[in-house]
Formats: sequence, structure tokens, C-alpha cells
Amino acid sequence: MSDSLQIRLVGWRVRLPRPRIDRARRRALVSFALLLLIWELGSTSASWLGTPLPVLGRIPSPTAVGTVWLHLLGQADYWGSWYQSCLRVLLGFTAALLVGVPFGLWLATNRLAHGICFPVFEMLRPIPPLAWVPAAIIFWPTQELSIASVIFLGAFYTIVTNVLGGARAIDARLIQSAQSLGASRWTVFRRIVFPAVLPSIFVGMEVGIGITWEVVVAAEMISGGGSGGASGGLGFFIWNSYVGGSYPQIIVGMLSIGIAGYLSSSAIRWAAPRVMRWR
Amino acid sequence: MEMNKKKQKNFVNKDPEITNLASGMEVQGVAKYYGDGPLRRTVIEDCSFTLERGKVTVMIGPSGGGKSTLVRLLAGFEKPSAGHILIDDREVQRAGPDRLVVFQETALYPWMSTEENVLFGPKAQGVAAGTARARVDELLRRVGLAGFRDKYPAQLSGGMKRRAELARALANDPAVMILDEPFRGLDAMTRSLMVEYYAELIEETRTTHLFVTTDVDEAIVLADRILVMSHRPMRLISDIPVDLPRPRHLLDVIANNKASDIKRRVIELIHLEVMRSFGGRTSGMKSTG
Repeated sequence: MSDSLQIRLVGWRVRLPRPRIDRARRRALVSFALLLLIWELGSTSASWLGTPLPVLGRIPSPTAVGTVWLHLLGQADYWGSWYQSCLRVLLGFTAALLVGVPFGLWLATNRLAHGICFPVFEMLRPIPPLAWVPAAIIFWPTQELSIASVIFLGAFYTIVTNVLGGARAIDARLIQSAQSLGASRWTVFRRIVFPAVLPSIFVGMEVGIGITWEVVVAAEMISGGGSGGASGGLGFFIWNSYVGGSYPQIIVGMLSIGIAGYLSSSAIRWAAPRVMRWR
Repeated sequence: MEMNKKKQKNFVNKDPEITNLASGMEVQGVAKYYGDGPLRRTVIEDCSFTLERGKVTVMIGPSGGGKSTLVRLLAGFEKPSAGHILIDDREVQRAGPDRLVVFQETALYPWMSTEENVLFGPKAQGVAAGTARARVDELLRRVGLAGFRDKYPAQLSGGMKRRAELARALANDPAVMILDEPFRGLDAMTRSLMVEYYAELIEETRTTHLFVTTDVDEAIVLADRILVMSHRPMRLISDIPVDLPRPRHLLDVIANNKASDIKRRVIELIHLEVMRSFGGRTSGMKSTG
């Protein structure tokens, strides 16, 4: 006991330069291992307990899911679904960013614009993006455009709301001192207001991209995969697996979305400190 | 064309004849209230004084009394409800580079390095890059931050931030410097160092100053004149000349009889006002003077 403690202490001291990363990784591994273990035990409960546990006992086991997944890794359609969904998210999200940030800044800096646009914005905002799906499918010219517009809305509201919140929180002294240093309105906007709002933009992006993934999957399910055909996106992939009765494949689709969402928000978290070097 | 436009915009700062104030700033019967009817709160009431050209005027009074409001009026961020504020006999209309404000706590731009912060004013006014850089180099050296030019404000200590801020203000060569408790929030040691440091800086530049503080020693070391202000609604109670020889140091205030007299007068006046700001409960505290 005391020996192992000694060794652990020494080991910890040897790895002193990066102990926190290692510890965090170790904990992440433990948490995933526990999840898989509980899941495996739960879904195979029928054989070792005699009777299946509720809920868990009905889910395909990790080994079954893993086998199917391995097989899918070699299939073009599976990767096609990834590609379709990623492309839609990227397009919708980029559009939301390109429109949402200037729109939010405009509302934040222009009283008249705020007065006119904000009430309408606030009335439309509570409508969930998914509620737009039927209308979008009917009224928009192409299926692809209706999916894209719904994704756009998912990220747009969050980004605009965050920009507005960030602009409200700007320290008035920063703007006043810039004015007293002789800065023009445009200089104040470009060098004070915009960098001050940047952290909020990143928060909005991080939350927004998560919503985007929620929305793309549902939109693909409802619209039947759009123009993608057999590889109609990950949402369509899940729906198709459900209709076809391939239950492990449903889980594969779900986990794929989890991974995709995690990767995209990680990318934003990675970019944030590199854009905002002062933080 | 472009050059011409820029020149016109900045002539105030480039022409030394105009840069150096002709007559100073004048505050005439200024009042400021917020709200209307029964909800009206009067913050400043019938305030009149002048900021003499090339002199350091220190304004002292209880905190929360309305001094910062008056600073915002002088700077042009807000308009007085009554009365006039004149700079060289022209009414102050809006914020401008001729009156530079240094705020309580720090107002450095967190996303700019020390150097970029100091460069902000000259750049905003279209001063040529080479001239501006040379001036900023010299200022950073003078405030002892030459080695920290690439650091962001978050990486500077409290005292360094104030020095960076002073450098940023001086880079614009303003006709009037308005400092609203610039050393507030610093620990006592750093604060006294900054005061001594600033007293030296005043010797060198001799621009027109309004320096707001709640610290009597600070006031005496820096001031040519001390304006003692009342609690809200703020009025001018007393205008005390400080004719002590310069350069001055914080120790002088303790050793010098004349300085002690001034200190006693100011403290007595302020004490009454502070009591008033506590709602007239004078029994709990003994005179500190």
C-alpha cells in the first residue's frame, strides 16, 4: 500500500510538467469505459440475469453496435451521410454567422434599427426552427434550400442574441475614452465595439453549432433526406435504419452525430483563444 | 484631398498655438439633474469655477457626491441641465481630443497591447505612423513600460496599467487633462508611488489639469488649487490655493506647516460633508482633523 503510494507519488512528480492533461485524459477514459461496461451489462442482462432489464435490456449491445459500425466504415453511403450533414451544417451555420453578426451589431449600435427590427425578431425567435420545416418544404423552391434555411434559423437566433447581449455589456468607459482620444464613430466600432463583442460571438457560435446539429438531423428525417438519395445525411441514415429495422445502425447514427457535434464545437473552442489572443 | 480632410479634422491638435489653451476652461452656474417631476434627482447644483491654463486644479469631496458626473459634463459625454461649460470661450458640445479623460480604475483596451493602447489616440487622429511611433516610444520609456510594450493589459500589474493609461493620455498631447480618481483601487504603497510619479510628470508637461480625488495628501502634493465640493447635490464649498514650492513630495505634507494647515482646513470641510452623506448621523464618529 505505502509502496504503491510512493510509486504513484514519484510517477506524479516525474510527469509534473503536464499532470493535469494526463489526469483529465485518464478520467475521460474511465468515464467512457464505465459507460460501455454498464451498457454492455445492461443490454446482455437477459442472458446473465434471466430477464432483460427495463430499457437497457432492449438496446443493442456495444459489441453488436461496434460490429455493425466496423462494417459501415467501409461503406460509401455511410460516409456520404456524414458528408451531406456536415455540408448542410457548414453552409447553414456560415450563413447564420455572416448574417447574424452584422445584424446583431447593427441592432446594437443603431437605435432606429433596434426599434424597428427587434420586436419582430423577438416574436419570431420563440418559434422553434423545426416548426418551420413543413412551411419551408412547401414554400421554398428546393428541398435542399428548405433544409439549409431551417439550419440557418437554428444558429441565427442564438448568434444574434449573444451579439446583442455582448454589446449591452460593453464598458461605457472604453467607448468614452476612445471618443475622448478623438476616435471617429467608425474607429470606435471597429477597434472597440467589435473586439468587445467577439467573446460573445464565440459563445453564440459554440451554442449555435450545437443547435445546428439538432436541427439538421430532424430536418433530414422529416424531409426524407433531401436530394442526397441513399446518402441523405445522418438524420436520414437514422430514420432509414429505423424503417429498415436495423437497430444497431440507429445507435451508430446517433453516436456519429454525437461525434460530429463534439468535433465541430471543439473546433470553435480551439479557434477562440487563437483569435482572441488577449484573453 | 484625403490629406486635406485629415489635416482639417486634426488642426486642433497640430497647431501649437491652439493646442495650448488660450484661457482655460470655465464652468458657469452648471447644474445637472436626472429624471423629472417628483422623481428628479439633482446631482449638481449651481457650480461655478475656472480651470486656469497650465495649472493643476484638484477637486476633492465625499465619494458618491457627483464629481464623476461633473467630469462627464466637462468631457462632453453628457450635457449640463443648466449653465455653461466653456473651453477657450467656446461652449463644449461633445467629447473631443482637446479634453482628455482618464477614468477611475482602468479603461485600457483589453484586446490591444500596451503599445497599441498608447498608439490609439495618435492613430485615431491620423498622425503619421513614424511620428506617432517615435512619440509612443519616448512615452513608454518615460513611464517605464518600454519592456512591456507587447504585453496585454491583463498581463500588467495595477500600477503598470495606470502608467500605461497616463502614457495613452499624454500621447494625444491634450490641452486639458481630466483625471477622475486615476489611482483609485491601487494599494497604498503603489498609490503613493504613482502620486509622486505623477507630480514629477506635471513638472515636465504643465498642461491644464483637473484632478479628482478623495485623498487629501494626494490633493496637496499635486494641486495649485483645491476645490472642496459638497455632498450631493454638489456645490463648490471652498476654493483653497496651494502655494507650496515644487517639486513636492508626499513627506512634505507631513513636515511642512503650511501644508498641514491646508490639510486641516480641507479635512474639516470634507468631514462635515461626509457626515451629511451618512444621513446626519454625526454621533458615531469623532473628528479626524
